[in-house]
Amino acid sequence: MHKKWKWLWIVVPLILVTAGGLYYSAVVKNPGSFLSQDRIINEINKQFRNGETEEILDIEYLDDRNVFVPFRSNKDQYGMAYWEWRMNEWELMMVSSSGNPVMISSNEGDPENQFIVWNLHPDDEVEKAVFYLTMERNFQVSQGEQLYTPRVQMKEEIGFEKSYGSMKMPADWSTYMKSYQQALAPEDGIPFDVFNDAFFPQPHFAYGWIPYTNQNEVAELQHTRGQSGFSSGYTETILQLNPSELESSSEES
Amino acid sequence: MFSLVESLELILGWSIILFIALHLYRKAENLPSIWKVAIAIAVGLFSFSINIPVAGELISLPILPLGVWALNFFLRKRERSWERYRPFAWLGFGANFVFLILALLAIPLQNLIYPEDRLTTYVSDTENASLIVLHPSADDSAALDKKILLEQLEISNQQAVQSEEWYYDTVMDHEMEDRNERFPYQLAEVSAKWGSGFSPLVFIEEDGQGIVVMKEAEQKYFRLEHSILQRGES
Repeated sequence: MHKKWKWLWIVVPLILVTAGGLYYSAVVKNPGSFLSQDRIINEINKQFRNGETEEILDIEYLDDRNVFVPFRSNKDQYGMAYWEWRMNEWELMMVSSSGNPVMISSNEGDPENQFIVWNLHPDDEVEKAVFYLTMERNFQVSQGEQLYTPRVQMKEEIGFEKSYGSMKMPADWSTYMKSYQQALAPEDGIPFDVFNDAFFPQPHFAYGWIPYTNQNEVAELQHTRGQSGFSSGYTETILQLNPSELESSSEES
Repeated sequence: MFSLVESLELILGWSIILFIALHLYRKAENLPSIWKVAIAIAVGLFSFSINIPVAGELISLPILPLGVWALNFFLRKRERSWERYRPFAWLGFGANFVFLILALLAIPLQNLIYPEDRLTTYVSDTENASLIVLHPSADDSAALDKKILLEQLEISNQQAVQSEEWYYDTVMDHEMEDRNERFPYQLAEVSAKWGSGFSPLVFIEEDGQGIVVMKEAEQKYFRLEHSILQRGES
């Protein structure tokens, strides 16, 4: 009687692991080919409030699981959509009637897999853009502990050959953000910010950008529309900045 | 990052519990079943505890043996069962004290192997060290001199972080266009001493002779004798 039960300790976990493996390989598949043009248009139109999709400008694989589709509507609006491959199908994660750059991330905001996408109105004639990762300079003194946070202002410049496109988040940005998050996490000891948060708001990361015309002047976006749309993915706003909001801009080339 | 002292705590703690459990098991008159013993110990572990800050750590002090009481309640109809498993439930509760003592001992041990006042504790493996420029006021042409970095790690001396002074130095009387960030570089791809459990963020001062190390929401500042930055032609 005793001996029979001992086998259970080996057999039960083995069955569970095998069942799990079978389920995983049956349900979770590698990305299949992307949707047809008709499918794409259909799915976008279901979400798109302002008219209908007239032209798909591009189908761009950001990586093997994320596809970015800038499009133009029949009302001359330039919008964006993106799909992510989840388990066994392509899932629509965002439709926006605005082409202003946004940061999208698959994988719950993992800094390794984030992309900036945009679809500006061609009439705005933007030649290049500079994107920024910023964080406020901060100091904090509490219970004898001093914390200094340097101002972060990292930039990445990109020329626009077309009015739509994408860019992977620069590696330096994700390295710094990950390091910062790790350094702030208290050991499972005193949660540093339990009382502090109310009195000492922590600085946050922010994304920004400045568009330029071919005369190297800051572009005024008259035609590109503001943010609106749906998103079930993780999108972060990229604020359009004024050069006067940047530090040390006299040193910039 | 992996913490050596924490792992030793866990291994030693559970070894002690296991040792006592074996002892109790052998002494037992009618052999209790092993998996019920394990459950009794696990349940006995539950307690109402309060967390007390000790030397920057939170130590958990058990007050009420909730697990033991719960087991007692569920087994109150079966006196024989309760008598057999009661010592193991108390062992479970006692385990909390074992870990408490080990946690207290770990504090000086951690500081002995990984002294908090030495830069080498936080910046140890510099083989793949690289520079990330964080602010436009940094010298773009600056490169990291790894040889000098290695030497200077030993010679560094700790000073106070003067967060408020540094902040106002940069901001006061300087408009946005001509602000120079005091710590415009990150020293990336370095790791702390193996087993320390730290994943620090390391900033380099613009003169290449200051290092701020940040870990677990704390910062330490070290000054070096020579700059670790090589200036190129600017």
